[in-house]
Formats: sequence, C-alpha cells, structure tokens
Amino acid sequence: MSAGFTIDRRAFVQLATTFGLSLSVPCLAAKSSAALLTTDEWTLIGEVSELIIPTTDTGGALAAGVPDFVKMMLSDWFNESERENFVSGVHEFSAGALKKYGKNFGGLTASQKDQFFGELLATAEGGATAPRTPFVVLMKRLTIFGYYTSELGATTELRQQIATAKYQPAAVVKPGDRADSGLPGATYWFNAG
Amino acid sequence: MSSYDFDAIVIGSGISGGWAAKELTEKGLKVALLERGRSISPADYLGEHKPAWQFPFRQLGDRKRYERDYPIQSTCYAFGEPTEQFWVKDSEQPYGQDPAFPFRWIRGNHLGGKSLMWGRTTPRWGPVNFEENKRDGHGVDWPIRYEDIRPWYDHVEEFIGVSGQTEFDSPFAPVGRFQPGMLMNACETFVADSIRKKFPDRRLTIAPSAVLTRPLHGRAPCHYCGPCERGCSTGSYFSSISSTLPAAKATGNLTIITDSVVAGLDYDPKSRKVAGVRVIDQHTRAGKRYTARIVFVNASTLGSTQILLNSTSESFPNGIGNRSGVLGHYLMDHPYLTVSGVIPGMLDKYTIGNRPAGVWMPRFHNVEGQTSPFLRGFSYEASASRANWTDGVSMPGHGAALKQRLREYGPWSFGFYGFLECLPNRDNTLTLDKVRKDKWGMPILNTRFEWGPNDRALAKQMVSDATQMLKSAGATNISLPPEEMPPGGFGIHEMGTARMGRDPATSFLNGHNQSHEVANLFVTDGSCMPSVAAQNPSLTFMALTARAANYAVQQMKAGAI
Repeated sequence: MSAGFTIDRRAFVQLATTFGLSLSVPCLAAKSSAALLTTDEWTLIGEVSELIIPTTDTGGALAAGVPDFVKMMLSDWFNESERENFVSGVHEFSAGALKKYGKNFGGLTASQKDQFFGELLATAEGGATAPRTPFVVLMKRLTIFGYYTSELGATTELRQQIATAKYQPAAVVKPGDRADSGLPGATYWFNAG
Repeated sequence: MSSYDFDAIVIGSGISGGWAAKELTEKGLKVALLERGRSISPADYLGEHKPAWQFPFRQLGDRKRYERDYPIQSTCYAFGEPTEQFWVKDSEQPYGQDPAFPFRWIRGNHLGGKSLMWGRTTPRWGPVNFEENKRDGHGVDWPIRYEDIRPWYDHVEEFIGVSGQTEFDSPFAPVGRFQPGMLMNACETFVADSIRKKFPDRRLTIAPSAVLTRPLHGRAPCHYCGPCERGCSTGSYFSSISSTLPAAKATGNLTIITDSVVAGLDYDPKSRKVAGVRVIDQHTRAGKRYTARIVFVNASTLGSTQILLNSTSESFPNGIGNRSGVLGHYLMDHPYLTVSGVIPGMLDKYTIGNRPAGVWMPRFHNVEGQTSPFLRGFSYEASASRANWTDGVSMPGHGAALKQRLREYGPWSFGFYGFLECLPNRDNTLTLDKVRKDKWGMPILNTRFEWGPNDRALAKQMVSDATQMLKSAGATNISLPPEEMPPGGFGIHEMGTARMGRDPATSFLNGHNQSHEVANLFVTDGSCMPSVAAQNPSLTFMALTARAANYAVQQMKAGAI
C-alpha cells in the first residue's frame, strides 16, 4: 500500500501526520523540465508510458497526453531530490538498454522494449530493495495517475458520472461495464519519493 | 436604543454565528455580523463539479506553494486543489504550537467559515452526555440537561434539514426531526448485518447528515456529486451561505461587515457590560469600533478564546469575564483513527452516485452506567466503496492486462473512523504570546495539547473493537492506525476553552451561554462545551446558539440586559 497515491478522506489525516514531518523541506526553484532531458529521452518517456497503458480499443498514455503530465510534474511538483532521482533513473535506464542490446532504447523492436521494461519493473515489484524509488516504478505511478485523471482516461476508458441526481446503493454490474473514475474528494496523494 | 450602532453584534459567520444572526434578526433585532475574512457567494465554488483534468495539478495541488503557505491546513482531508480558496494561509496567520504537545488549528476565515467545508454528520447528543461529567467527576457539571436542549435540536433540525434513519433510537443518538435518510450501499448493509449477528448491541446505520433528501426553503435535494467541501450551488448541504444567512438577510435586519478582524471587546465597569467591539480592517488595518446592547462571540473555539483573552481591562486583566481563570483551559478535540479492511464478495454490486453522508455507529460502551475498564466511549463513522484505478500502482505488471484490470471495479473496502471522547484536562491550553503579534497587531495564539491516559485506553479499545467487527464480516487485509496518536486538532472538533458551568468559580459561561460576569456577553461556539461526548458537535453548537439567542432576546425585553 506504500505506493498508493489516493486515500479516503478520513484516512488522509493519518497519513498526513507522517507527511507533516517533511513539510519543512525548503522548496527549490523549479527548473524547466524540457532542459532536464534530451529530446530522445522525452521520446523514451512517451514510449515507456505507452508500454504501461497502451492503446487498445481505447487510446493509451500517449493519446491521453501523459508525457506533458510528466513534464509538468517534473518541473513544478517534484522537489529537487526527487527530480534528480528521476533524471538519473532515465540515464540508467537508457544505459541499461544500450548495454543489454547494444542499441539505444529507441532503436529496439517493440517486443524488446516491452521485455526490457517489463523485466526491470518485475524486479522492482518483486521486492528488490533500492535506496530510491526506481525509474520504472515512478513511470508507472506517473502514467497511471496521468492517464486516469485525463479526460480520455476518466471518461472514455472509464466512466464518469458527476452528478447522478439519484443514488443507487446496490446497482448490478453488467458484463462490459466500465468502472467509475469517480469524482473523488478534494485530495489526491502522489508518492514521488 | 439610539445610542447603540446595533441591537446586537455577532462575531463570526460560521455554523454558530450564522445561527445567532438568524435567530436574533428574526426576533426583530438589528444585527451586525462581523466576519474577519472576505465575502463568499456561490460564484466562489470554483471546484464544484470540476473534473481532475481541469486543475493545473490534476487535484494534487501546488505542492510547493502548499508547503510554504499551508503546512497545517494541507494536512486536513478536505484541503486540496478544488478547495484551497477556503483555507487560511498559515504563512500569513501564524499561531504557536508547543513542540512536545502540538495542536493542528484548521481554519477557514471567510463568510460562512468552516460551515463551507465541514463534515455534515449531525447526531444529537443523548441524555447521558449531559450527565457524565457529574457522574465521573471529569469536567464541570453541565448546567443543562438533554430536556433543556431537546426542543432546540428539533428547531435546528427542521430548519437546516437533516436526513437520517428513524428506526434505531440510540441513547447516544436520539432520533430527531429527520428527512428520509440516504441509503447504505450493498457492502455497508452486509457489514451491518454481520456485526449485528455477533454484537447485537452495535448498530451500523446511515449517519444523520445535514444534507437534504427533500427540498427545503428553496434549497434542492442532494444531486450526489460527492465532495460537498467544494461548495454546493444548489445549497443541498447546510452552510451559513445556503441556509442561515439568507434567512437572516430576508428579515431586513442584518448588516454583514466582512474583512473586519475583531481585536477585542471594551468593558465598561460601571454598567458591567461590553461597551464596544474594536475591529481592524484586514486590508487597510484601519481601526473601527461598533456598539450594541448584546454581543455574541462565535469566532470558533480558538478564535473566540483569542478575542476574549485579548480583551483586557483593569477589571479583567486576564481577559474579559475571566474571573475564574478557566478561559483558555480545557481545550479538547476528538481523536479519530482509521481501521479498514477488504470485504470479500458482492462483486456484482456497485454504487451509482457519490453519497455525501457516511454510515456510523453510536457509542456502545458504558451505556448502562460504568461497565468498562475505561471511562465513556467512542463512536464510529464508516463507509464502504469499491476500489478503482487508484489501486493500479499496487498491482504488479503493465500493459494491456493492467489496463483491462483497471477498467473493472476492484474489491469492496470498508473503513471505520473512530471518534473518541477526550476528557477535559486543565493543562491543554490556549494562551496569548507575550511577544509575537500577527499582522493586525493581535498577540498570536499559542497552543498546548496532549491526550490523557483514558483517551489512549479508548484508542486501543476502539482499534480492537473495529478489528473484531471487520473480522465478523470476513474482512481481509485489515489495516490499523499508527500506534502513536495523531496530534490534537485533526478531529477539527476543538472545544472547551470558555466552558459553561453552574459555578462562576470554575466556568466562564452560565447555562444560557451568558458570561457569569458580563451580562451582555454570550459565547455559543465550540468553546462553550464542558465535555465533547463521542458525537460530532456542530448540531449541538447550533441548538445551544438558538437557545441562547432566544434567552438573550427575552432578557432584553424584560429589561434585564
């Protein structure tokens, strides 16, 4: 559950107790995220996001504008240390692909890209300890959050009903029904650590 | 009459101040309502019905700005990108915390105050709640009993509109004048039935809630969008803006004066009354003074206490009316702690609509006298919902399979949020800083708050009872709160620092919320409470306010004030 980025309204207060301890970290000036990564690296971000939430019968991460969301988060939301961790994670990821395949990530076949990313993610999610959150895990969090809070993700991939006028406490799920993306409470939570 | 600016001044426009203004204007008094913050109208409900992608930070909010300006407010569950316009900037309005005994002061300084962002659960208190201080000796005896406040609960419920169930009449939640209750969802009904089979005395029902299910005074029934704290343009939940202030305005007797920070009350030793209210314009810092025959202080527990402490004179060097010395002592709150679990099954059921009322369980310990090894008890708020895409980060894998899983509903989870009755403790205090002043020249308020041994014993019991109840419904993945209790203030039910009582030597107010010492001074917000019970308190603030306002008008008519 430590990876979660949303919590119910009342439970938020408890997590906030912990969060409160880190609130005094001084904030550093935001950097333009475009300058943090090369054009090729931004392409890589887009490709990785599409591996996580691909185009199927609905649009995927690219169609939902996830790379722009990542840019915003990197420049305006992440703190300096989180940003450094992310950027060095991109470098490490690129270097890993080059080492394994002798090619840049962008030059791999679709199945090589999927396999390379999938193996790293499986290792990270398999309980491997790392001093900082690995790039592949951060990308998964960013992609899921960015996708399902986009208009495409919230209303086409999922269903959004903002004011239903009536409350149905035990509606029956029919085959093919999509989950409600919800109009959540005031607060989401994101762990960029 | 003509020598006064107004018949009455009400300080503060939140839940209790709005009620004071309504009652006093309806009785024919010319009332000035002083609000330290800006005016608010439904046009300010900027986040209402707004989907995540329309916010610059997708509802995560501007973290760096929050860290700088809202380090305390941003810890409140209702604070966020859709609501941030409703909260005080901690950076601009500092207060003091004892590092070892911190207290989180959650504030909304604008017309309507915290009534815009409140939680809306409105149980009555029961007869025992007004008797227990006397029974076990913690806190002073309440100067009133349930029968004194009962007709005022009726009065308030009928006016604000409370929806709730009427089948189960708990001694700790008497059934009131309710509109039809909202409905429990499939999982909540299952959990309620499971608990009742194993614990026949514990009843989980829809919570009485100040959200309409029927039209009332031009306000529409709830349309189930969910997060009320963003504001409601149909006025479906109670706030000063939707309910009491329109009624007060309709009398033609109300003057709303916003942006006016009250610095203090002037005391006239000859008449032994409040002679005037000194205010400072929050923008220009220009001073002004208003006079009236009576003054109602409704600036919130901490806000009112700050004003009263800062109203010093030769007669009252420690704050107006404070001969007893209790002003600023006995600060209380409800700690609340979450226990949750996953409830298997019912995967063919979901909910349509976002219901803004929770379910809850009234207190079930020490119901028939003292039978548990600790004093008093706790109640639970609760709710069940199905997991959605936000669980994606904790699911392994990626790609089309992950996308397909997140397209479907996840399992039901059920959360208990226990509210514990905290006992009054003289050492939990509000004091004025001797050196530091705010930008209007007011001494800043210092807080010191700790939980007592009984509070901690209740917390342990609450977690254990909730765990057992979840297990009775077959719950898995039960998640417990941290061992360490959260700081005071997180319940946002702060109370007690200008308490009522029978004895002027040990209390600040009498049984009509009137100062023992200063006949035209009334305090009817949370600061008046001699105990906190285990129920949400706002309905009781409203009922006490209406009762006090009617008493004050009677006394004025009788020439006693």
